[in-house]
Amino acid sequence: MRKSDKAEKKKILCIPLDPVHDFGLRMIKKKLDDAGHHTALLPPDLSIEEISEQISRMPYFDFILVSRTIGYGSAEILANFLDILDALKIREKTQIAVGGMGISKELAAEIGFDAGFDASTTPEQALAYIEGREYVEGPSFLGQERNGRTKRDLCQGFSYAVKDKLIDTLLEDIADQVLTWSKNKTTPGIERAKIREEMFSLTDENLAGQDRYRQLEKRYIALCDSSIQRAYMNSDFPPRIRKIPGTLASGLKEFVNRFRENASCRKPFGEKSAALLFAQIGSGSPIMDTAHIKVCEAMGIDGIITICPSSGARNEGLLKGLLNHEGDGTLLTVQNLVLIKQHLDKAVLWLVRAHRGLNGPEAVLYAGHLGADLSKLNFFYGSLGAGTDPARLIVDTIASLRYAASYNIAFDIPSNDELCGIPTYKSFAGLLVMAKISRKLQAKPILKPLFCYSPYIIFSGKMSDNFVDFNAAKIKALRSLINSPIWIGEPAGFMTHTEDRIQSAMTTALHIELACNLGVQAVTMASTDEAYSRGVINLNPRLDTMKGAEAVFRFMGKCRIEPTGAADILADELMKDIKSVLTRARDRKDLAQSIYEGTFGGKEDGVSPGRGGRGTLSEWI
Amino acid sequence: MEQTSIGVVGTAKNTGKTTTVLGLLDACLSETLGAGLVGIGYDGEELDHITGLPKPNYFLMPPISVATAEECLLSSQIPHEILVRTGISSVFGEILIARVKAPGRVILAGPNKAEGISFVLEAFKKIGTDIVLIDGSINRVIPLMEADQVVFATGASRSTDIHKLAKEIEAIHFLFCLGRFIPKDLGLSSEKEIKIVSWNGKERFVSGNSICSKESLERVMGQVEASSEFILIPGIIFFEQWKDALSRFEKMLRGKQIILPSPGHILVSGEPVSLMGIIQCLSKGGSRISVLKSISMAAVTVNPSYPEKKDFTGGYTHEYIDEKNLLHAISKAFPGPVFNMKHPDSGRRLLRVLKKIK
Repeated sequence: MRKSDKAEKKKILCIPLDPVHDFGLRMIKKKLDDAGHHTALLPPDLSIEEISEQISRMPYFDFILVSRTIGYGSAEILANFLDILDALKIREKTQIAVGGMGISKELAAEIGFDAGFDASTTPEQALAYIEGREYVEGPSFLGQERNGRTKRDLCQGFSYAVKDKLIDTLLEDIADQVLTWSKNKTTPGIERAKIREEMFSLTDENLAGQDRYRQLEKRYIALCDSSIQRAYMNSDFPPRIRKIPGTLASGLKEFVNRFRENASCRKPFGEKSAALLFAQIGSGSPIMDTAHIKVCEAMGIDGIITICPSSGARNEGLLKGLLNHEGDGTLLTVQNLVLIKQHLDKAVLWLVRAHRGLNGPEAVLYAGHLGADLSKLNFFYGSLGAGTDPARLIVDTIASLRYAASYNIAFDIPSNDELCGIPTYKSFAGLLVMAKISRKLQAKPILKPLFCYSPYIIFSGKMSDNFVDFNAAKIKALRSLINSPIWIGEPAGFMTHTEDRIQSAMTTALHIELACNLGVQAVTMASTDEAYSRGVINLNPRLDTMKGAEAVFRFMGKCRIEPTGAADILADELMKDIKSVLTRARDRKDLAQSIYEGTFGGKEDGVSPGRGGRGTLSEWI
Repeated sequence: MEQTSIGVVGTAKNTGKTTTVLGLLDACLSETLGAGLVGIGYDGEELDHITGLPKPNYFLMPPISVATAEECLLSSQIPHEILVRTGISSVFGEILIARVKAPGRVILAGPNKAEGISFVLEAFKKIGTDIVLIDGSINRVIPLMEADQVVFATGASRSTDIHKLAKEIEAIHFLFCLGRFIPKDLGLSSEKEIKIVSWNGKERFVSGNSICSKESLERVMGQVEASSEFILIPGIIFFEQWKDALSRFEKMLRGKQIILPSPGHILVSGEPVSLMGIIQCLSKGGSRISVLKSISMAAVTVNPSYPEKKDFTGGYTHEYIDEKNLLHAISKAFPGPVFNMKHPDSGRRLLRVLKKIK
């Protein structure tokens, strides 16, 4: 790197070695002129002989910038041109750089240029090269709190007031009933969470402390399924789960350090768009997850959702250790989460999922204790769409809400039950019930409707014309009913994606733009191969959606996607139907039974209540 | 053994320069000759930038010495001993000469101009290297004019028309056989401007070091007199510009000698076959073209493979022309040895040729 000699003005000759194109060079020339340097630009479509003649007659230049689109045969033309400049003795005092489509630093070096710039080179980068200084795009966000930026509190400023008096009354009644019903109930999940809580509280590293830890762990194991017990006692892990060697974890640290030094970073999406953008990540390996997270951070993601395996939800008990899972989701172990947290940028929000299965309270405890910002809870979805017994999950979730409140972590209420066939209004009725229960426990809920092309929507024809109106109606309805943060759930545009990556990126980006236009607080995006991945989710499809979102934000700027008048009509219908679901549930006076009986989704919708954990409730004496 | 330097020049990308150099390196090792290696520019990719096809890479054995950039040496992690810090800077750091101490892959990033190559060759000489191999870049030729001998690598990547390839090699050989002009006391090798010297010692100068257009040709010819004997061009002449003017200046140039720095300085200015035709015309008209530095074109290597676009998706695959016909045609066009370096023992046989010429 040359010493910075910015003060001295340079003489630069720009040569488009191309029949037509010189736009890039003209932009660079303008930048250099504005900075006070002396430039000359040859026209395109000159032969090498004509260029050589002109150069040989011109005064001496400090730099020659050549532009060319690389293609088969172009390398030879550029190499020959360089030889001619060598023979003309131009190179004795002049530095020669090349840029254009397909050019890279390595290719330029292979041909013998002094510098090479690819098609994404900005005039600012060219100026930095001419002036002999390092080009710095902007402050690096990695490894710091994104330059003093703090995490946004998604719930700030929301009162959770229910705007419709009748609906408020219905929700109050339902919430009171279920809290009373669950008051003296416990589950193995809750008991395990209590044991874990005590284990976390042990700070004594002396023998007494270690002894107590072992006792607690023994009690914990006794409350687990046999497959989990075998893992603890004999390291006999369930299929497709294995320990991660220590060398990989230390290698990861080196990777992250090098990444921080070398990655160029974009501004967080949340600074450019109204909503925060989240990515969901759960490759099965916390190592791979971390690598993906670093790339997402560099792209400007505002938050990360750690997705755990769906199979894990069916077992009583969580495993321990740094573990890989060959399948969907990364195992919720303390060690896995600590590893992910260790390398996470301090200003990036982190959500640990807990909304379904038999380990909810412990999962939220993990989230709170290990420094997550958010979790995810919804007993409606977990019991109707994920296989857990409704009664069990209600009791577990209420305990989870208490943990969330005590750790002051917000949580989203996902409405992915829509994807199982449940009509939107039933799913939304569930969202509102969850929100009301949460508020009674001082927890901080975030409503999470989906922008999706669900079975109900397909059958009802509500999106037969466009994907805008009904999604807009969803937000309008929710906003009319409750003053609450709203987060469009994972992933945006679900079921509108095909296996074509371009189509998938496009539809995701448009749904994200719509969400931002509608004033939501956050959106989750998936990679373009999320729905179709037949194995590990790769980095390039992950970049697709982020780049797609960038492109759409740039395209739209301050313009807006406007729904038609149909959105208002659909919103009114939704609100009416939500009311009737809540009325039925309130009149039943038993929320668990309402779920079993299909009030919030039943056989006619294609769902049945789950059975995982059925019969495991017990009463406190 | 007195040091000799061998430049491997390609007529295009993917003609087999690196394969030729690798063959020679193997041969040097088996004959326990001290070998040095330097490349023009950067050569480290596993895959070709444009075709995506795999490229041969440098897996070196001790005690080969290699001149490469510091960053490349460090990232290669090959055990080495630094012998010389050249002070030549590159995009990848200072160019160093290091002796390889254990087998390993090295990325070459050498000087990208003639001046740098000259300096590196001098440095290799000082440390006593017997043979220095210079891996060319794409079809660059000027920096390789610093070498003692050149080997041309050609093949189907240049053209799948065997006849064209042969004709081109014939023309290149013709240019490399142009007579060497011995400057005596005229000091022509240090000139920066075009110099016209008469038989009576009178000198005239024309600004610039090259003739790139008809206008500059007119200016130079305006200074040529009947008594002029030598016309030194320190740079290049775009001879193809002369095609139209030939008939006009034929008489004026009769009996005069046009001197250029090297055969490479002629080769860069146009298509070899066309250049040969123009120079032959000039010779018929009584003029002579010679060079200050004569370099032996010691051998030709051929590569029958070339990258071909597979389908509309843009991917490339290796295709082949007839190797026997290629070897035969090139052997007819070039009086020296011709090798396909993929054949066993080609490296040794080529090395023997190069040692004999030295």
